[in-house]
Amino acid sequence: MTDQNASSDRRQLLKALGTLSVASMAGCVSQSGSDGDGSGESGDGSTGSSGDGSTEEGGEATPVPMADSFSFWELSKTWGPHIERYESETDATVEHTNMGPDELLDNLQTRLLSGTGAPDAAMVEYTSLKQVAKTGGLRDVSDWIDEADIRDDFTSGIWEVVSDGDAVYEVPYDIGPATLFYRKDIWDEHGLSDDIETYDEFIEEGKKLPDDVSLLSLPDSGLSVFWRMMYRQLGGVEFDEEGRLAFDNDKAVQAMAQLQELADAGITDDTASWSQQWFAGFNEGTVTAYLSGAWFSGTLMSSMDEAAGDWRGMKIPALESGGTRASNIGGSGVCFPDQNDEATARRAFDFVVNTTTNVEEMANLFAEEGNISAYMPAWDDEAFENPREFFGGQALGTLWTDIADDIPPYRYTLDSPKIMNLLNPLLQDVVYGDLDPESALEEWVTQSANETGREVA
Amino acid sequence: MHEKLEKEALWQFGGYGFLVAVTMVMMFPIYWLVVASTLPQSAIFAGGAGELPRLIPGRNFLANAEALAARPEVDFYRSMLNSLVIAVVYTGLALLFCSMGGFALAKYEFKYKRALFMGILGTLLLPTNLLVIPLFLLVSNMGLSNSYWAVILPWAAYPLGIFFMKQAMQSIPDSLLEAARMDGASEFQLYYRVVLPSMKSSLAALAVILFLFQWNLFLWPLVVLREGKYTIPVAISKIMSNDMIAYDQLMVASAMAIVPMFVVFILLQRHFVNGILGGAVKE
Repeated sequence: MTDQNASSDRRQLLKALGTLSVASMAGCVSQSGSDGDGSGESGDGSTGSSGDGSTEEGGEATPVPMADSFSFWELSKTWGPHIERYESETDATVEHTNMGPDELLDNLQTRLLSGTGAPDAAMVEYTSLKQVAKTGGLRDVSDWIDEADIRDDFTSGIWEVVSDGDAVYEVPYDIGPATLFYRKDIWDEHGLSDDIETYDEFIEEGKKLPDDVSLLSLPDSGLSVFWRMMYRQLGGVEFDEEGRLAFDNDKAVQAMAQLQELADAGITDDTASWSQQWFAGFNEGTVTAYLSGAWFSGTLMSSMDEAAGDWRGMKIPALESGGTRASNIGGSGVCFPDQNDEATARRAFDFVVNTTTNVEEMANLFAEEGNISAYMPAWDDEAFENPREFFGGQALGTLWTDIADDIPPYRYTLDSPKIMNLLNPLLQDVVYGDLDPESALEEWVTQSANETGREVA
Repeated sequence: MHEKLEKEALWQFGGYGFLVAVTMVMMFPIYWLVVASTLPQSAIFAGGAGELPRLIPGRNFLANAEALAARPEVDFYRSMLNSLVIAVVYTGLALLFCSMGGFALAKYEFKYKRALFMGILGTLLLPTNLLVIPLFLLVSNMGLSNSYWAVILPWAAYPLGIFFMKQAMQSIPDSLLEAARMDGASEFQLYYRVVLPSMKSSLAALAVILFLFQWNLFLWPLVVLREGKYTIPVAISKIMSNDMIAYDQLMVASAMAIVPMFVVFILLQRHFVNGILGGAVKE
């Protein structure tokens, strides 16, 4: 290694250490369960390697040596059935660990930076992937993905999210088509129409509710998530192709103002999200709606069974008449640390691709957990058209695949979590305080530029 | 004369009044934590923005504690035991290393002593987060990952402790050590039989500091320990990493987590003030 390289490596390591430091400090206090769960789906084992694995090189089938076992960390608690199937089909064994998102991130980054102890595959939310990739410890699997020939089968724009330049760091697992979940029975009881297109109409309908019933849960700890959903819906991106801060614009203000308008209309409830009280509000019908990703349907089914049959889902309202009604909240993929030997990584990759491109399994995942795979052929499975009892017979699968087609592309960077942390307190002042959106944006842009050292586009 | 006494009494009353007020402000969050641990979750969140939370204890403490015990992924009581073992062993070991280091720096002259001391103090400037990567490498290479020792050893020679003991030991007269040497005491005997017995207050004060430091460590145990060996802060974070955050369990876990800290402080408080002030007096 040349001195120059060594010096560059040291700089990289120091930068990464700083990154971990900041991320960890943020991670220590953040709460999980907000976005991102994954589900993925797959066709018919498109790597063709559920046994010993094989690949095409130079037109000839060349056996790829694969290890008999590998370790895998996940955060969605949905991989048990995938692992069971893969182990039964291949005799490979999976050392499987479940963790919370923050715990997984802290542990994974530490092991990637120190070059030892990382698992062979790990599930990471899309919003955090760039931060993890910046450690330099992830394997670029672009060649393997090309060998498996699966790029065109995944949702458009997803490869941008899991790539850095030409390098691909994750196999996409699930996406989170943004959905307005609502209590149809309460809406009917008070004469609210669910034939709405814009937030203005949504607010007008909400005013029909009595004082002790709130239309929408809008907890202050997650305002930045709602802002991002709306901003993306408007076609905004946080970073441009050069990595500059790209939110100093009217769309950003519009999304902030929309959140403010919702709260000012007196139709929102700010009970802490994921608390028992929050769930009770939905169950008892004192709060009637929530904006989240498709994966939230699984949470509804497991935690709000008292209102089974009364829930429905619809596209999120547009910010203006004729506007887009599609966006995304959450979603994860699986990455592969490069510190482990290739045969083990190949086995882990084979497992992940075999799972995420397995139509039957992904259909089951949708049916059981409500997660939507990023793998489009799975959407043709009849499971997506089946009425869902919990949702009063509504076929949510088709709603979500319909939304998924229109989700505007987005771009995350290493600094995505940091700028969201800067945004949330400002949004709290906008939505539940008296700060105006323009001033909040100005302050946010200044803070973000100072904290990240990035130029403003 | 009488007027002067009255004025003094007034000042004293005002001073105590101020101290009581400050104490109440500082104790309020802890009081609320304890109260919240006795309430069902619905009562914790009762009341709107700007209203005082409920301040009268309820009867749900045991129910909350039982619900907490029923969470295998949190394994709270095991974590409490882990934390106790780690903190107690760590405190004992760190007291030994810090007092030996402090003794050497206070009572011996050797080359580069000042630079060494500055170097030790300099490490205080490094946040734990920055040390995680190199420490992880070290601990992994030593094969100590996922063991109690992985959490105990890295800060066994705690820089603040060495500094604290150095300052305290400077108050010991050199003549006393000389006399002991003339009586035939070895250098280790000087440390063990002459210096340590006169440092009880300082050691007790340092023990409180070390115990609290270890008890509160979060990121390092999170990274280096796995399920079954988690400490309390990590277990508490596990309560929050589920879909539904059980704030009642969170409160009861937090309330129980501060009990050992109170016990340690109450047991050693007699020495604490003396110990802290011990280093302020020099020969």
